Amino acid sequence: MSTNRTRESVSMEDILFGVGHGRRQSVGNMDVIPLVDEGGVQNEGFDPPSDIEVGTSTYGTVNLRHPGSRPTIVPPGAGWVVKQAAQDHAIGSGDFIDAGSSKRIDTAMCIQSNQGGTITQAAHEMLILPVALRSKALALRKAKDYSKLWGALGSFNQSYGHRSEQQLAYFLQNYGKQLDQFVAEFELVPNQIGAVILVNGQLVGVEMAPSTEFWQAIWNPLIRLCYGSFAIKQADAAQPTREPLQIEERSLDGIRAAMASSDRVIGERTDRIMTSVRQDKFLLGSVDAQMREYQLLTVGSPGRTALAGQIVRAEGVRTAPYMSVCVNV
Amino acid sequence: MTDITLWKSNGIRPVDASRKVCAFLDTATTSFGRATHYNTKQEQKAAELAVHGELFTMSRDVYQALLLLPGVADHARQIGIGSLLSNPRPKDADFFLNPGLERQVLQYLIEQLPAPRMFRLFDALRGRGDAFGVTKANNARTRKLILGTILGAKRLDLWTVKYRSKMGRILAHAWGQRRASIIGSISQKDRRRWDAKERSIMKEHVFRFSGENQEKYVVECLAFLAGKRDGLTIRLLKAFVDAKLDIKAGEKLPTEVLEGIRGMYHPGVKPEEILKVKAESGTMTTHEKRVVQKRAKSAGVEVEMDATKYGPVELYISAFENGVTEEILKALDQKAEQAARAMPVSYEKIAIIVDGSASMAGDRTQHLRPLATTLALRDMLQHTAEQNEVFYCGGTLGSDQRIVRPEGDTSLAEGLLAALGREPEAVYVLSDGYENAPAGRFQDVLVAARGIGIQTPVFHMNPVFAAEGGAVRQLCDEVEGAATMPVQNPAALGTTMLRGLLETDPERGINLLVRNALNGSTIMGLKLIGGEA
Repeated sequence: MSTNRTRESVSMEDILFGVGHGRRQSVGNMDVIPLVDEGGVQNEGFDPPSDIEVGTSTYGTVNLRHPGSRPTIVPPGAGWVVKQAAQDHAIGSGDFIDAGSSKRIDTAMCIQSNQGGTITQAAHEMLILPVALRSKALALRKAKDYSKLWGALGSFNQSYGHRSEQQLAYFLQNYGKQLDQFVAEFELVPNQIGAVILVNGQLVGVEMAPSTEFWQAIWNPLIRLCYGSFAIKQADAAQPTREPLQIEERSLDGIRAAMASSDRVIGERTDRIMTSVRQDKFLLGSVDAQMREYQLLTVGSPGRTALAGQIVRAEGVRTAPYMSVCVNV
Repeated sequence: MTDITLWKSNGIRPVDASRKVCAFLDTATTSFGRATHYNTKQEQKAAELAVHGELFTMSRDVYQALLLLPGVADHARQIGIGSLLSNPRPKDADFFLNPGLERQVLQYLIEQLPAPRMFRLFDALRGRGDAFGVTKANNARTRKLILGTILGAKRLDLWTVKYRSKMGRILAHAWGQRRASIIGSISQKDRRRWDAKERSIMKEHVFRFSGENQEKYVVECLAFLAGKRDGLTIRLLKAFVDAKLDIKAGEKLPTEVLEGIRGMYHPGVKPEEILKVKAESGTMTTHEKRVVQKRAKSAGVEVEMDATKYGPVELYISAFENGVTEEILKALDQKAEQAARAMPVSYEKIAIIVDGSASMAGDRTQHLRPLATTLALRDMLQHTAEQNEVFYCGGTLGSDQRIVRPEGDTSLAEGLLAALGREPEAVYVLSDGYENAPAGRFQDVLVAARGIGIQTPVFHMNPVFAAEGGAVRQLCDEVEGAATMPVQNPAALGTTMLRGLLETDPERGINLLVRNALNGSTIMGLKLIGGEA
């Protein structure tokens, strides 16, 4: 399905209605601001995409089966790197899969040029493409060409100072341990349904799920490979994101005051970022999938943030239960 | 009595030796060879094997002595036994143990392993798979160790029904396939009709290893393993056969064996029936009683659990799963008091900071163990001082004021500041060492506190081995008076406290550890000479 709606827009303020933010978590050059349900915005109508079974029948076609009792949303840029002798695959656009149903996506892309074979249908672990590849995959989402991401993959590996291998597995081999660190460092907070992600203090993505259960399932793939890869890339240009303690009085009260002051500065900075995020507007692109009243739309921000990605919303409703947008790098 | 000379740091820089020993202690006391919240099983394993390998290469004897220390995890001992058996002991090495003592160490370590872990290790010695980093070991001492342990076991009949396939494979590995087949055939014959050759084979390859077990008993177990199912006289073996016709006849069998028979021969019988049969017969082991609590509760079957028979970490895990009872709380207090008495250091007034953040839940495969360990440590530490105060950072404290449910981000600095404000003599921080709100704040606050003259010692006790660092993760880098120590259970804390000594005086620290290890185990005939304690 493809309906052109390029002139229509939706504001981030509407999408984030009822969603607040929690305390910022900072480790190294990455910061995460948790998005939390402030009451009543959770949509329990979707299963998390954790049990999806995936297989490939031909190159460029993935077959997905969702065994759950509620429909689910497959995130844009979802991919599967498997241990079998088979070509790893990813998809550019997100999609819906109804409860207990299957879906065949013939616009998928191979993310491993040096390996033949098809993936045996099973519940393989899902990853989400690195930020640097996700926007390219999204732009090419409608093209039926299994090799459409190979060039970008080669450049991606080369940009980290490695060979221009056209396979994502090569990147994972080189950086697997560092990527795990990102999973290690950031923790989920109560009622968390999303996050704003910053690298070197700059906004790189906003992610939101229908429910805490859904969020728990997609957080690790997002923080590990999608955003972790970007943080590694930017590590050389790392800016200190942590506010140092400025102790004026040499006592425990003095340290306490310095800590409170530092927290205040961090809090104010966080509020400013959130205000800026909320003020952003997205131009609506095509409807890439529809399931009953829900539409999956591609969106892009013409404003300062330059975020692009996909959202899910019910027709005629301003809020959105799902959003996955990141910078175009 | 055997004289032994303790380890000397000949040719090895003490600081390097200390680093290797510390890394080993970190790994051996906290790693279970499983995934954690942060690292995959493969990463944990690779890091763990590297640490073992380094110490083994430095000194085979220090390595095996340290395996004896209380608090060393079974998993570390499995790796250690595997390494010792797969690598022959060099004859001309200048070691402080000898081959005889090494045999005793190995025997002791094997005896300390629970039966399932011992069988897993023996199975790994066959060289299939890569568990415990073991390559195939089939030398004479390995064969002797396996045969002596299995054939001389007091509960050979129980092992025979419970681990029959594994035991069959292991014995075949020790004897060789052909000999195992011959012994199986002889065992199934009437003993009175054995000829001289058969008797000689059994004497040389079976009875030589069966210790105090009666020949008849051992032969019947071996016959059962070889497939004999009629004319059995040993109650447990008979029960295995009878339970296939009448499930109740298997009440004495281990629960999982009985459940296996139910699945295969009595599919119409519900699993809850097995729980009832076992509960009524009163033959469940302590471990089984704890493991089945949740299932028993939902099936409406009462399985009494004697809380005093479990360690505090297990009790907390049970409390997380099934709720807290008065009996559990009482047992936890008793255990904490006991463990506190063995603590080598005590203060009058302490502060305890408990990290209850989301990561303390641990990985799915050892769910809630880090927090269970933390709570057991908290209880024990509270008994080591006349005054104590606990500061919780993250998590939700239950109405019982004991159980903490993991939740939220990690900001230990606020807890540290509050704790220091109470002017304790020592601060204990119980945390996995991952801090994010923001990272490094704990160190900033401690450095600032040191800067204003607060020298209160801070002990960071970490229950989680972190593969990425090959050790437990620290909250502070090189801040004076802020040691990080790995700890798996409260009873092992004495061992980990000695770790601090390793950093200041490596040679003395290593020798003290070795002495403690050898003296603490029940290896007979050891008299330590040389080295200062």
